[in-house]
Amino acid sequence: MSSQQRAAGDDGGVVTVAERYRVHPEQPLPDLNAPGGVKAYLTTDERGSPKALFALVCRRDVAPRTDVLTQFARFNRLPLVTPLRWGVVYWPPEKARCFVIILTQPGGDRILPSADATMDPWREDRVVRLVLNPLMPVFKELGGRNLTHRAIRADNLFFSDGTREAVMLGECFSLPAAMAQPSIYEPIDGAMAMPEGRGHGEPADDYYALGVLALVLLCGGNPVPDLSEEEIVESKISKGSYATLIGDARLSLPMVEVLRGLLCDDPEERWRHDDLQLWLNGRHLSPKQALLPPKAARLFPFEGVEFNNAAALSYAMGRNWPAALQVIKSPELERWIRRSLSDDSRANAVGAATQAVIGVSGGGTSVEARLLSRVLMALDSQAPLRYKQVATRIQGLAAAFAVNYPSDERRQIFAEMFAHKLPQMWLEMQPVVRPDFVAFARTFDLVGMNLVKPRIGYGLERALYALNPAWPCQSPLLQNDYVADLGELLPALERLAQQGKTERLPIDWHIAGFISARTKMSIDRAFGELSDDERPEVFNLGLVRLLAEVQDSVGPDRLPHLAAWCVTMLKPVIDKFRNKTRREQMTELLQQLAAKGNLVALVRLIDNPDRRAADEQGFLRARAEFAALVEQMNWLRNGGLTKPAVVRASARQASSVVSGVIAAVAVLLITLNSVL
Amino acid sequence: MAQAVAKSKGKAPAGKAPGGKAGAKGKPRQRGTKTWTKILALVILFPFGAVLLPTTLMFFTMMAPTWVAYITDRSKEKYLAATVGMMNFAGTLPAIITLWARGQSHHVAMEMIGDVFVWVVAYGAAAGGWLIFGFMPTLVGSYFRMTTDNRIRTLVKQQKALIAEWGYAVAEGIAMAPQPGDEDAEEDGEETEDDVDVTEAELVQPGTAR
Repeated sequence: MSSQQRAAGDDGGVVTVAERYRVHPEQPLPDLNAPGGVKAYLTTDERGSPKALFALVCRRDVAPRTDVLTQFARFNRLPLVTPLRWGVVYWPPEKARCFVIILTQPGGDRILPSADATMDPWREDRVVRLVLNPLMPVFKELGGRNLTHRAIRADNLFFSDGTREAVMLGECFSLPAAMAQPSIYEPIDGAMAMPEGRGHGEPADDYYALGVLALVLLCGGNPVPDLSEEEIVESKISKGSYATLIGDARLSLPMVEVLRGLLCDDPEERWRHDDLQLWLNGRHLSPKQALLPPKAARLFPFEGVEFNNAAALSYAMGRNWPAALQVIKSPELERWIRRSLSDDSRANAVGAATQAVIGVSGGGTSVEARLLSRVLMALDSQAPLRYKQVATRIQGLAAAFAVNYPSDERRQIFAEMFAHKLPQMWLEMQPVVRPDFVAFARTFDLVGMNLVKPRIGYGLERALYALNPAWPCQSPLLQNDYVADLGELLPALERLAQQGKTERLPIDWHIAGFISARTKMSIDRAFGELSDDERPEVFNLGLVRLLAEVQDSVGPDRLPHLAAWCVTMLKPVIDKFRNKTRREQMTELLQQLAAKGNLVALVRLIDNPDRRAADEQGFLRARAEFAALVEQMNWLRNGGLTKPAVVRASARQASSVVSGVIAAVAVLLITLNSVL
Repeated sequence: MAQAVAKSKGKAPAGKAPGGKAGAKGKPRQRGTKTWTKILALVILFPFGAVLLPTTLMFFTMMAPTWVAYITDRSKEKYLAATVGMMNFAGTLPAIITLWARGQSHHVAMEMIGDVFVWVVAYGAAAGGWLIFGFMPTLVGSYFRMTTDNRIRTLVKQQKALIAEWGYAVAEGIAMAPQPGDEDAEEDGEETEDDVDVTEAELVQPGTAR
C-alpha cells in the first residue's frame, strides 16, 4: 500500500480506487469534510468491508501528509480514523486528477461540530473515561514511532458509535501538519506561527493539544472565547498557557494537575505518555511549571502598549513590522534590555543588529527587515522565524513556503529569507542545538546555493520541490493533474500529448525544478542546454534530453504521444543538418522511433556526433563542387569557347579536316571511275 | 567580380602546355631536323620528278593555288595550305590520270595544260578549299556558341541541384563572373535577350543566402 498504489478514475459517475474502492461523487458526506476545502464522499468496498468507508478528495494546490500515510494505516486497531488506500484518480466533478484517501468512517458524530461551536460541558470523569484513557494507546504508538498527529482538537474528535460512550480521533493527513489546527490548541511558538508554518512538530505538541482538548470538553467549547488569537498568544507568553486558558474554570485538583502538566509551556517538562499513565493510575504528580519570561523593571512602550518582557515585545513587533522597523533604528531597545531586563548578552545581540541598521540607513528596506528579523530572534530565540508577513517554525518553513508559493508577494518574502540565510541564522541563535538542526542547516544552505543560479532547473522552483518531497508539481501545464512523484510526470505529459494539448512546451520552470529536485542523476547538460533559450536547436534538444533522462531513470518505456510531440520540437535540431536528404531521413527515422515511444532513442539519433561530422564534411565537398561548377561557368561566360582566337584556331583545324574528307571522297570516286 | 574577371583574363589558357627551358632548348634542334627532312625528301623525290617530268610539270602547274596558300599561310600548322592543297589535289587528279592514260608525254602534258577545263577543275577545287577555310570560322563560331549555351544550362542545373540539396549556404561567398556584355546590358536592356537564359540571379540569391 503506497502512493504507487494503482488508482483509476472513470470518466463519469463512480471512481474506482485500487480496483476495489468505489467513490461516489454524487454522494458527498459534508459531516466528514476536513477543514481547508477537503471534501468527503461515500465510498463502498467491492469486497464488502465490514465498516462504512469514506473518501477524502484532497486539494490539488496543497499536498497531503503522504509521508505518514503508510504508518498511520497500521493503526487500524486504535481509536483513530485510519487510511486504507490512497492514490491519484481522475475526479469527474473537478475534471482533474486528485489525490484521494480512503478511510473508515467514524461510527458517530463529531463531538464539537466546529471549532467555534459550544456544547454541554463534560464532567471530568467523562473526559477521563472517554478521552484521556482511551487515547493513551494512540499516544503510545505515535510516540513510539516518533510520529505526530497535529490535528487533536474537539471538532476532530468523533463518537465511535451511536451510544456515545467511546470516541476516536479524526484524520490528520489531508493537509500539511497542524494547518487546520486553531491556534488555541498550539503551544506558544506554534500559535505564533502562521497555520501552514507550524510543521509536524514534536509529540509534545500533541500532548499540549490533548490538554487543550480536555479543557475545551470541560468548558463546553473555547475556554477563552472573548480573547482574540493575538491576545491569547500574548497572554500565553506573559502569563503562561495554563493561566491563560483556565481562566475562571473551576476544576478539581487532579484535573488541575493533569492540565498543568499537559499545558506546560516548556516542552521538555510537559507531560507525556508515562506521566499521563501514572496520573490515570492514580498517582499524584506535581508538574513543574515553565518559568515565565523575566519581567523588566521599566515597561517598554510599543504602539500604545507597554510591555514588561522581551518575548511579548518580540511577538508584538513581529506582528507590526513597519512600527518595529522604526524601533530598531534607535538604541532605546538595547538600552531597555540592558538596564531594565539586565540581560547583557541579549542586549549585545540586539545592539549589534540595531547598530547595523543605523549604519546602513538608506541601505534599503530589505536590509532593515533582515536586521529586524535578527532583533526579533535575539529578543525571543524560541519564537518562530519571522520576516515581514511570514512567521514559521523552522520545521514548517518548507510547507509554509509551498502553501504561499502562488502569492507573488509571499514568494518574494520567502526568497529573501533563503537568500539572507535567515533560517541558518535562526538555527545559530538557538540556545540548545537539536540533532535535526544540522540537517535543516544543510538543506537551507543547498536551497541558498540553488537560488543564486538564475537558470531553469534551479531557483525558487527547485527549492519548492526540494524542501517538500511530496508536493505536487505546480506547473500550469499540469493544472488538471496531480504529479507528486517523478514517475508520474511523463505519464501526465503523455496524457496531455494524447489530448492534443501541445501548444506549449512540455517543460517549464516548475517542471524543470520538479525534475531537478526529485532526480538523483546528473542532468546538468540538459539544464545547460535549456539555459540557451535564444537558440531553439539547443534549447529544444535540451528539453527532449531532459525528458529522455527522466524516462531512462523512472520510465515508463513507451510514450508514443509524448515522443511524437518531442519530434515536432526537434525540427530546429534537424534543420541544423545541412543536407536535405539527411534531414528527410532523420525526420522519417525520428517518426519511426516516436511510434515506439522511446525518447532516449530519439536523443541518441539526433545527437550523434558522427552523423553531424559526416554532414559537415559532405557540405564542404558540395561547396568545393559548387565552386568548380562556378569556375567552369565563369570560363564559358568569359568566352572560353567563343573567343575569336579560339574559334579561328578550331575553324582552321575543322576546315582542313572537312577538306580532307571531301578530297578523299573525290579521289576515291575519281579512281573508281577511271578503273571502272 | 571585377577582380575575378581580371584574374581570369590574366590566367594562362587552360590546357596550354607549360613553357620551359627544355622547350626553348629543343627548338633549334627541331628546326634543323625539319630542314634535313625536307632536303632528304627533295633528294628522294628529285629522280621521280625527273623521270615523271610531264606529270611533275602538270602537278606543279595545277597545284599552284596550294603553293600560294602555303606561302601566304603564316601559321605554323599550315591549315590553309592543307585545306586548299587537299581540294586542289582532288581537282588535279583527273588531269594526271588522263595524262597517264594518254602516255605521259610532254606533248600531252602541254596540251592538257592548255586546256581551260583542266584549269577550271583544278583551280575550282582549290577555290572550294579556300571557301571552306573562309566560311569555317562562322560555322564553328555558331557551333561553339550553341555548345556554350548548352553547357551553361547543364552547369546551372547542377548548381541548382546542389543548392536544393545543401541550401544556399553552399554558394555563399563564391563569386560569379559577369556575362560578356553585362555592362552593355545595364545600359540597353534589349541586348540581354541574346544572353544565356539562366542568369546568375537564379543561382545565387544574396538576399536569401544563409
